[in-house]
Formats: sequence, structure tokens, C-alpha cells
Amino acid sequence: MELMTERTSRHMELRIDRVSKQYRNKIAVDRLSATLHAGVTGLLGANGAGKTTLMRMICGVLTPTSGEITYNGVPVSEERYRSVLGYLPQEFGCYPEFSGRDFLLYFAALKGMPRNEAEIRSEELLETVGLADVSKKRVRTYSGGMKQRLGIAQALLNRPQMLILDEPTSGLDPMERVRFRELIGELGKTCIVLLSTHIVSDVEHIADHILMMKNGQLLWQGEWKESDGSLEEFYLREFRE
Amino acid sequence: MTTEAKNRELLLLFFEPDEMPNPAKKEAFLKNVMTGQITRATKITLDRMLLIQAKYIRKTAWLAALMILLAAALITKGSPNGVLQIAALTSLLAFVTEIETRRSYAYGMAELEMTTPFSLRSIRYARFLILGLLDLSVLTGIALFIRNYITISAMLTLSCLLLPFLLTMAGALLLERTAFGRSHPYGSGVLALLIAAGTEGFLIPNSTAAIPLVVHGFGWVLELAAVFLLVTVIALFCTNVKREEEMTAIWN
Repeated sequence: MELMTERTSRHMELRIDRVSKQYRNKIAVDRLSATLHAGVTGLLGANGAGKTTLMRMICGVLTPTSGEITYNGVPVSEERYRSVLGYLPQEFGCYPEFSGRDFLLYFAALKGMPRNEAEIRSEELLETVGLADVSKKRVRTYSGGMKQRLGIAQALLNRPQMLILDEPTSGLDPMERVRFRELIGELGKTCIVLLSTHIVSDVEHIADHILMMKNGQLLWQGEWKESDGSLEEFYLREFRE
Repeated sequence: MTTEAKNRELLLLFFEPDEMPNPAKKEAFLKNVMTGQITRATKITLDRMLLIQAKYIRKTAWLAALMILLAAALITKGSPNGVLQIAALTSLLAFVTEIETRRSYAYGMAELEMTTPFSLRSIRYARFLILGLLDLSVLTGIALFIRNYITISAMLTLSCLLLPFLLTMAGALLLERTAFGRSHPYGSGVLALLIAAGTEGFLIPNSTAAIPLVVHGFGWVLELAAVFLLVTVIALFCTNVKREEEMTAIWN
């Protein structure tokens, strides 16, 4: 099956089919199934619920113990799958000699982008995330928020159809958080965005779909409407039990 | 302009492949943009990956390797045990290579690199290939040039050079997955020194004992043993590179 080269959101489908991950005697993710389409999906869960493990499996960083993950029928292990993937891990570093621009150009090269396109795209993204002025400074001199924005730019380099964001708002100040939420909301109109957080307000107003995880299992999934009441109260109630 | 409007405008720049780019850009790029084709579909060939990785290998790594090669050339000058002395140096070369290939972990880039169309394993293999094999082939060249000082075959010469190198690499890869290895990124240097000292201490005294074997036509016994050891060490090295995921398990 061919992946799309044109951006038509109605055909995007990320399928997670009975996926489990076991580390020795601990089950981090337990037979989890979900299907994601274009739009923002919020992945809620307390620390240690298995959110990061699930995201790493979706990105091909970890291999599931059992189950399958496919995007439009293409399995996660294939190069074609990763070519439409954008990922922002919870924490990431950078080679000390890299400037912000070098960082983007390195990942553009690894993602197979031609040099000229990579340069144009990097400039665009650096402007977008507000780092154009400091693009030649070394990343190690960046603040936490600046580094996070650079990570977002990196995830957007290849115009991803799947954008996996692991706790993207951690380390951002309140103003940046709001701006970032708006940006994610817009991105969700053109691709699948999976955003993990343990802060309900991060996803309450922008997520079209909610997944709640507890002890490696999917506790609840569905659309949350304002008429359903407060998502935060529901979340806290479910997690207290 | 409100933040929302600004965001929308910027996003339009990302996702409007039909928008006319700067006319000064190359025609191929223009064509790509105008047809809306996303160039990520380009298949990345092995030679291109090697070029990308070669470009990002630090100058200090090249410099360290060059110094070892110079040392090898100086030590072996006129020495009857030249090949064996070079053999000890290859473990230090392996240490330099290993430090360079593990940069992804040392600087927290591994997780991001794993999600690109290349696997992290292939990135590591590429770095091994470029730095390790390039240096090793120069050393082999030096060794083959001087090997007539002692009566050992090309196969034994190659084994003498490869065994300490691959053993250090395999050991270092094993070490970096341990708690000690993670907290002591240069711990593999100690391992390299131990292997270098062991090589020096084992090979040079035993070479005197081995020469009669070669002279009396039993050199094939040594060669057979060398091939067996090489296959074992190569298998050990490959197994350790394949077990990359164990490194990621520590993140959970």
C-alpha cells in the first residue's frame, strides 16, 4: 500500500492493534488498541502510566512485545512509515558543536531531504518557532523553552502526516504554553497529532479525541464535549479509583 | 496581528506546497513544490548515508585516529615485532571509534535519530565503517608492508590487527549498556588499555614460540585458530550492535 504524497487528511489512519510491551516482569503497555485519524488526540495519564512507552513504540524506537502498529497499512518497521513521522521526545539533547540551524540541517539530511530544500525549510521553521535570531548560536546556550521550540521545528521538518509529541509543553513558560497549544490545534487540521500529557488543561480545549491510560491499559477513549462537563474532574475521578 | 492569526499565517507557509517559492531557487525544487510532491520519498542510499555520517564525525576523532596511525608508523620502523605492536594499538583505535559512534547516546540524540528513515543501528554501522575500517585499512597497509620482518602469513597479520580491535569494540558496546558504562562514558578506554596491554603481553612473547610452528609447516593450525577467533569476535560485535534496544529500555 502506498503512503500519500499529497496532504489529504481524510485518508490518514494510525492503527494500534493489541500492542503490549513487557520489561522483564513489568508490563508497561498491556494489549492496547486504538485507531487515530487526522486531528489532535490527547493521551492523558499519570507518570508511569505507559504513555512514553506507547509513543516510543509508535515511533519505532521500541519494538512491541506483541501487537502491531500501522499507518495506512504500512508497519512501523518500514522506512516509508518513518518518512511521514514527526517526533518530539520528552527529553532530547544535541551535539555540543551544533547551532540551532546545524541541528535542523542534520535531521533534514537524516530524513533524506535535499540540501537546498533542507536549508529553505530550516529557515522557515526557525522563523516560525522564533529562533531565527539565534539560529547560529550553539544549542547548549539555549534556554529550556528555546530548546523545546527547536525540537518542534525538527519534528515538522519533513511535513509529517503523524506528529507524536511527548509532554511537549514541559519546560515552557505560561505564554509559550498557550502559543504552543494554538499551534498544535492548527497542526491537527492537517495531520494526526498525538500529544501526551498529565496536565488536563493542555489538551482539554484542543483535542478532538482523548485516550486515558492507567497502568499500561487504556482506561477510556472517546470524544470529549463541553456538555460532558469538566474533563479534569472526570480524569481525577477515574484515576482515584 | 493576533497570535492566532500569526500562527495561521505561518502554518500556511508550511502546508501550502502549491505556493510559488522564491524564483531564484533551483528548477527542480520549484517543480517539486509546484506539484506538491514531498521530496521525503527520496530513497536514501547507503553511500549517501555514509557521506552524511562522515560529514558529522568530529575533527577530534579524526585527529586522535591520525595520531594513533602516526604512532603505529613510528613504532614499527625497523622493529622485528612491528605487526604485533600495531596489533596492540588497534584496541586504542577501537576506543576512539566507539566513543565517536556512541555520541548519539552520550548527547541524548539517539531517540531522535531512531525515528528518522535510518535505524540507529545503521547509523552506528555507518560510523564504524567510515572511521574504524578506514583507519584499520591504513594500519593493515602498514602491517602488510613490514610483515616480512617476521615470518607470519597475511591471514595471521590481519587476525592480529582485527582481533584486538573487534574485541575492544564488542566489549565497549557491552559495557555501555551497563550502569557503570552509562555513568562512565570513557570507561571503555580502560578496557582498550587492558586489551592493548594483554595483546602486547600475550602476542609478543608467544610469537617466538609460534615461529617454529610456521617454519615446520604447521602455520595452518595458527591460521585456523585465528579464523575461529575472528568469526567468534565478529559475531560478538554484531550481536552487541543489534542489541541497541536495551539502551532505550533504560529510559522507561
